[in-house]
Amino acid sequence: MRARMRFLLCLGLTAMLMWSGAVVAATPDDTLVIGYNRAANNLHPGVNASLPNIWANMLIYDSLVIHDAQGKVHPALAKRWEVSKDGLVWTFYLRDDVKFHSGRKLTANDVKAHFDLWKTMPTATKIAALEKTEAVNDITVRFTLKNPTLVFLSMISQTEWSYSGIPDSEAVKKYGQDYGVLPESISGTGPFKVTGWVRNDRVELARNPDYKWGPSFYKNQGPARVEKVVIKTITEEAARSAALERGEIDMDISLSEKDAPRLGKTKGLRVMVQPKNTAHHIGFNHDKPLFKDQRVRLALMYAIDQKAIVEAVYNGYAKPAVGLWSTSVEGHTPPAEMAKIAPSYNPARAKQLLDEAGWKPGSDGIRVKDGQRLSFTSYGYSEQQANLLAVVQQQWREVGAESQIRQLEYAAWQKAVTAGEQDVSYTDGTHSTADLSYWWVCKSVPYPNILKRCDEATDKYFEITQTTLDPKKRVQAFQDMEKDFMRRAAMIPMPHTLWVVGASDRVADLELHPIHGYFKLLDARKTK
Amino acid sequence: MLGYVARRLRATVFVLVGVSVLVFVMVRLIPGDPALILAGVDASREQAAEVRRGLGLDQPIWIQYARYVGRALEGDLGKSIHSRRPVWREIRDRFPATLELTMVSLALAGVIGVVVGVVSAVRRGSAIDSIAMIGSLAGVSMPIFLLGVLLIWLFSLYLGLLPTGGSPPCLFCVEHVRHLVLPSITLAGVSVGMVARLTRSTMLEVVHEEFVRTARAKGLAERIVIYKHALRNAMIPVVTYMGLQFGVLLGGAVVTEQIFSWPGMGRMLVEAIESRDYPVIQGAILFMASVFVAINLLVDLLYGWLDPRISYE
Repeated sequence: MRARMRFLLCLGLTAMLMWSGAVVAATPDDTLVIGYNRAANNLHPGVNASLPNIWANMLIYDSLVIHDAQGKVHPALAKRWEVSKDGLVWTFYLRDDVKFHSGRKLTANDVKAHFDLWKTMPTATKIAALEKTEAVNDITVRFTLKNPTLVFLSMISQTEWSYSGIPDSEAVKKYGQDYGVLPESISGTGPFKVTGWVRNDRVELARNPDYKWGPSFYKNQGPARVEKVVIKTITEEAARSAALERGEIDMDISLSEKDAPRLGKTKGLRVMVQPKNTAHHIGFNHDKPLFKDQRVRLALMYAIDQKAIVEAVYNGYAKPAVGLWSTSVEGHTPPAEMAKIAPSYNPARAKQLLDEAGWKPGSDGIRVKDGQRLSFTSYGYSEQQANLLAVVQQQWREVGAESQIRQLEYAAWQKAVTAGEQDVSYTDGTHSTADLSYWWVCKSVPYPNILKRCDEATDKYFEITQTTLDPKKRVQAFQDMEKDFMRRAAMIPMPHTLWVVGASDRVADLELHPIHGYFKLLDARKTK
Repeated sequence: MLGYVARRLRATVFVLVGVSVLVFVMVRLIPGDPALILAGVDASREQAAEVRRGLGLDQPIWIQYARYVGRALEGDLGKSIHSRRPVWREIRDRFPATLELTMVSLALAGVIGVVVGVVSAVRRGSAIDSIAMIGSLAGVSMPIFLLGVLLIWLFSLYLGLLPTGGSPPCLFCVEHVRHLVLPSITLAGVSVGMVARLTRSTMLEVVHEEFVRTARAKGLAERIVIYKHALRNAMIPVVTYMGLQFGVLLGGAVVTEQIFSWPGMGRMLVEAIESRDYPVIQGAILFMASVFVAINLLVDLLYGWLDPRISYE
């Protein structure tokens, strides 16, 4: 009898325990909970290139300037700037009403301190052109460059991965290596401040009530409309979708394309899409004898059916690429013009080119030339890329080419392609500007120039983009480079992927940025 | 017994030195450059080389190891390449979560597995025995990943009873316990099956021993015969298994921690391997090896309590 009573009591307690939170799954009215698949590890801008750090830093810090979604530069902490005639000296005039979360006023010394420190950080490549930084007075910063370039302005924009976000220099001095690691150390000027950090679980932010210097392309320049933000780490895709459905999170910013159709039909949820700035491509290893023949490269380009890839791999959540760059990137060639140059799906033309190149169909359909099969390896580093390469494998097979897919873990892929093991490789090219072209210049061989392509014309175009002070010449040079890539089949553009974000209907006025998703969250609000 | 413990501790030093050398070499043999990952894909060759120099990775491996051992002996396991935090702090923050998950899972596995195993053995051949053994086979065969996702679907989405994952920082609050339920059941899944089957098989051997017949002949209640006399002797292989399983679960909670976003060492290790964070990988594995060795020693000492015939001389 006593044992039975004890058992029933345990059962009752268990039921109470489970039921105590069962009906309460909705997030608080004053808190926007964002789910992401990885955790931030260091919130000192520029310390590393980890995306969770970068996106949290977008909310915690500001930079001197910032790009809008169309790629236009806007003032941020700097209200205006001047460039000397020779392009070597850039002078920025700061706002005088900006305060850090610590209460201290922002001065030019804070900017100088960060840029001096940034030059010692792993991400310093962005400011390779910078010679020195001076604080002329409290509200004036002067940068002297090693060579004149318009690129400098892009590289110090917050859009460029928030490395240029300005921290409170006194906090950095006080905490040293612990700055950005201890939650109490972190002090920026951004619309949100850090109030808590449970490592590998969540970052908790609260609205900065003093914030009123938000970029002009937001309807609201500050304070933010949402009182609190929690960036919650939910590693597993299925668990994240479940958390969104259950109301444990308000947004999933890396929603799986597989779950998107179902969740879009779920009551209380919506799926938002926004084209990303991508230059995804399959790159040929130009060191391999097989790909020294331009006809082979062109043929493989003509064999690609991008619409089929969009449906099969991305469930419709992608956009076929005409050229290399997204249309929101300054320097892209207008699609109508590019469509006349870049090869598009035409298997008959692909077969014709291969015939001309001497590759004749073998008994199993795979082409042969001088005893060699038209067979090569395709490398990728994620499951989705392997799925894409499988679809592409079929498309190539139809024209008589055989590819073997090698899916490696990212770091192993990096080592393999640096060594030039691959014949072709898928590469993810998410970027902020067309300066990503740096990937394909001679001095970038062997990495990140995994095409192993050292071309005089490419280097010439790139040199112009980096040294001209004429914005029109810069755009023209990017376009010429892109057209050249397509004409000569340097790489095969792949569909532009989209931001696929699942959001609760309680999140209103949310707009997505092509590179950085929720970006600075100034307009977004929670409804009851 | 003290002499036995001293001998085991001496052997432990050699084990840990061996583990440290193995891990140190192995992580450097895995393809991948931590400097490139840290600097980002835009980094120039010169920048990546500079980062490599800053991390000391341009030095010969034996110099790197000597420096590592020198610091480790002073209690310094180095700093994470990515977070720049001391490795011991990363471990300190993550280990309790893994320990909690492992211990709760093992306790669940032990209690449920032993009870099911004993009942199965006592009612051998019955419907209960068959159901229990089929259930335990399912537990052993079911992949952890599938079990975890199914539990999320059933209890979080369909029934709406439990959260999908995460770990609230309050240790003894109801919310924390609710978050612990699904991951601990998932992790216990395989172990429950094995413990049940092992307990059943050893119980079936022990119940036919003479001392059990003697206990019954003395007129003791069946409950006392089974649980006080037979079970204690049947527990030795079960204790061995659970002791080894503790080490396995400690290092193998990776999948469970990934599914439920449990902020433990398994996830930390996966992230460290992906980003080639050498100091974290080395520190975490050395730490887990130490814990595993300590657990094994405790398990061996437990035998002596379970079976007074066992001597450590």
